[in-house]
Amino acid sequence: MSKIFIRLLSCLLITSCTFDYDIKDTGYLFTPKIVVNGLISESDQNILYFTQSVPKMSDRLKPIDNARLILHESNQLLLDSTFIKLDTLKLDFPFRTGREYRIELHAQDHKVHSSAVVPFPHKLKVDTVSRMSENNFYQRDFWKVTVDLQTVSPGNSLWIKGDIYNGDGTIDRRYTLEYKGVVPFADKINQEIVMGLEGGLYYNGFIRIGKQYLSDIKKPFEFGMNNIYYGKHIKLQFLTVPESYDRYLINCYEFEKMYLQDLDPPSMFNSSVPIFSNIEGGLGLFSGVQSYSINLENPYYSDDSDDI
Amino acid sequence: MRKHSLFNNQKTLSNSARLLSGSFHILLAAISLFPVSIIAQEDTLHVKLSETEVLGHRNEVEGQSYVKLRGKALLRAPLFMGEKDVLRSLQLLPGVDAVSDGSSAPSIRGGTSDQSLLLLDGTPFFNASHAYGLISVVDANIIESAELFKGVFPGQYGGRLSGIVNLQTRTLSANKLHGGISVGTISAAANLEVPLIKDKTYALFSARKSTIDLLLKGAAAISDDLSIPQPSFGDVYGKVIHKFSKDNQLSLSGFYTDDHLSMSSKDAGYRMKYAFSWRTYSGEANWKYKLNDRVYLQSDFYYAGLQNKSKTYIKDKELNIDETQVSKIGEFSLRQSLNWRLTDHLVGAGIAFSQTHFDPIRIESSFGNTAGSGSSSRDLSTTAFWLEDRWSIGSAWSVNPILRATVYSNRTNVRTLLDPRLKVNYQLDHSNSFEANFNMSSQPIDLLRQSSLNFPMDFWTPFADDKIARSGLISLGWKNTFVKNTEFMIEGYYKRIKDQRFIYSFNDFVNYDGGSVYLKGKAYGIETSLRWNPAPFQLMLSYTYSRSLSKLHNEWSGNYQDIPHRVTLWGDYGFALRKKKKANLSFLLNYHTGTPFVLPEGFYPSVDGSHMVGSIPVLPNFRSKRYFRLDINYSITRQLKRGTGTWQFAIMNITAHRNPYMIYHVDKGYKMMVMIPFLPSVAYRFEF
Repeated sequence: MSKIFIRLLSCLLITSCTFDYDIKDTGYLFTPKIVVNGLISESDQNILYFTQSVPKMSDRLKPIDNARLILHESNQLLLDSTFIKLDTLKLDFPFRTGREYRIELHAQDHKVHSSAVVPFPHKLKVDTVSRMSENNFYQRDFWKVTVDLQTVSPGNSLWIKGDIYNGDGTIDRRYTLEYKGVVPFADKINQEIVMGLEGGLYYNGFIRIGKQYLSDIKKPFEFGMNNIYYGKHIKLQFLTVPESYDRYLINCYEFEKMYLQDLDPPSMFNSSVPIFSNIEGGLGLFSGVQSYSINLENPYYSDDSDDI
Repeated sequence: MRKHSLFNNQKTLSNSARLLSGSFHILLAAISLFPVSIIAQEDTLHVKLSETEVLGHRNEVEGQSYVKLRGKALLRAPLFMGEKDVLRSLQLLPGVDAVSDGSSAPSIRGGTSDQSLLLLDGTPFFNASHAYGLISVVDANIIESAELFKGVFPGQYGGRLSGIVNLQTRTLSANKLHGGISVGTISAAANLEVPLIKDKTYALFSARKSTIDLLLKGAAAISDDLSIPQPSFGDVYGKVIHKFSKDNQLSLSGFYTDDHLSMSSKDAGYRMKYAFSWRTYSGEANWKYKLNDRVYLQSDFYYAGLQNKSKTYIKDKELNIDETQVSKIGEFSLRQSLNWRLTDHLVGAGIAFSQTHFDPIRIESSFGNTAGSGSSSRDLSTTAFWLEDRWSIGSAWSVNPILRATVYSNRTNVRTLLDPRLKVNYQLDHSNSFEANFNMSSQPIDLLRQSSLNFPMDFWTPFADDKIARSGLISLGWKNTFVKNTEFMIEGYYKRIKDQRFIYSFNDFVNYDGGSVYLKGKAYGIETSLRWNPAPFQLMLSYTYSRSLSKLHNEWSGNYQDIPHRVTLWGDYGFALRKKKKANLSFLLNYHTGTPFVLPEGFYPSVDGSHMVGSIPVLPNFRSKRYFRLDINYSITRQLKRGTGTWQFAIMNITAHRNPYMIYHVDKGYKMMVMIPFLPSVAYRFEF
């Protein structure tokens, strides 16, 4: 909803101004914390990441020294190892659906721990992907996607998000897919109303359908994807997201709005919200996830698409 | 100057005595029981009770923890964007703050703004602000007095931890037409007092409407751009009082406020509209009855509510969306109180029942499905009993013990809480008084804010997890009026809070009932003020040292209200320009320690490694630079044939000091947003 709030903010700006602010003299103490990140799934390869928090966003990340890592599946020990330097751990086995996995990390005289369950997936089918055009001033092309949600996994939300890939296979972070259309009861977290555009409900970056709304979706639903000019390949993902990951993603979205976007000033609706973490004694997230993805080739992509 | 003891130890409340010529100090002891008026006739002073206020009204002893601003004190208060603002005027007093420039709701003694109970003639209003917090919703022209309780709360009130503000509308006793019309930079207002039946029935009406939206509508029409935001606000108040007899009076009143912001877009084949609205509404019936010379009854019924709404309407060849999202709180209450006057006692007792319904988020959609609710509706029942005594011991001591028992129920949990309170006043001599307070209170509801402004998504929610926030406060104060035309007050206080629910993530709370923590809190401080009133000057200097701390993970740290040092200086000078024309020049200086903010205290990669995220604490970890603001007002009042006309000119923040309202991260560092830059305003008011 950021654009609507930019408008709203413009009202406030009748009586307000923005200025640079120097926080050098009012610094605060920084204490590094252990970070554990891991999304586990039925994939044959799962990767866990370990690091420490840093004082500045641009600082180089450090591994964790002399760390002992313990991993359990239910009551069965899967791993108990000590690492001189630990930053990335590749696990060449799938995590099984419905099982609980517990992780413990002992380092720097601290113990951090967490647990996660791989959720059962929402069963869905992508029926059609077709090219449409908006017949207005902007003359924008978009892809219309029809999704048939067949079985809902109780207690889990659905996130739809796509990544634009460059010709060399890397994800292009400059451009975010913008979704257009109507998903009944789609979450309002990133819903935007764009004045002057036909069919004005937009979801910037992702569509989230909260667990409480999924059972209301009785028939195939449609949405459009914009910004398709900018990538050669688009990977569209449908994520079955349990509570911990859902809360984390919502908070991350709020953080991005507040700190990572070029809104000046940011929307008043954004605020500094602590990002959800289920790592007891540390930071990060250890969660299960189910992912269903389709890859789309963009016939309209060209090397000079940036100029569009 | 001679001193005489004229009324000491008198058992009656009216008296007269012959006086010698000269000047006198008049000391009225035991005035806590009933208001008195003093009439000088030649060489005799008549002291008598005020007839209209006898009907069940209990006067508090004014001191450090209880302040009552009346008539001229309110009228001569500073202007905020050309508007008189009662809630802003209270923020001149020590111990009362606005947490930020964009908030009208007062923060009392280190409490959050939702810990202050805001009342209009005893009826709560849940939203204090028009125009994103710049001015308050109550038109100052209908207000006769403003009571502030920051120590002991009266027995009939509870449900908040930090303080009570009770705005009392005009009492309407004169048999003549009175009113006023004003037009200012951001609003136009009118108010009228009408005697409907002589000596029996009176009516008071007021209405206010924003004017800034007219400018924007004009801009939209000229530019043919419907997407220019159309903000507006307005409020309406009406009250009718009927006196069946001298001892029997009924009043009916209603209050409605509306803030609105809409944008629309229209073209061949499609139409869009997006709108927010904030609405506060209440209706009250109040019956005062004098049973006999000693017993007074008062019955109240009210319904008060707040509705925040956002509406999306989109229609084109593909879409037909008509979706409304509503957050609501509605409360009705019945209250019966009794006051029984004995020789040295005024005993009060009562019972109150209220039912509050919360609809956090309800979506009505044209998709045909029933609304999914991110957070289900909730209810709160409150039943309260109270017993109190105001006991005058001799001419010097006044003791006011109070016991309030409250039963709270939220469908799943029932809690019964006892709140004992005690206030002791000691009048040492004609210029020195002391006051001690002990107050306990509880708060079963919390305000869920998405930002520090009040926005449509804000709503209230009742207690959960069988935990209700409770506070206990002790304070001790001294008031001195020894030097002519001066009044000096100093008071220290210490407050503890437990089970205070702090909701830090709106989305987490709505989706998962998460995003909140229970905190312990403590606040302490010293408040001082010095008033100097050598007419035509008025000067008030106040200094407050206050700390407001919260305990999280066994560590105490400052919360969002932790602003240790605050200085306020207000001055007013009235002078005659020429015959039938007078002027007032006033200023208001605010200085305080920087405002607490939250900033990331570290960064780490997101779970998918795509970007960095921040480690953001629950409580503030950063304090901005000091706050400074100087406002100046100048008004010229001219006597006209049928009334008075007043031009009011005001400049807020005349030094254009940059006080951050919001601090945010940009590519190369941080920026701040200033809510009140150099801000001139003008208004004209005609009164008859």
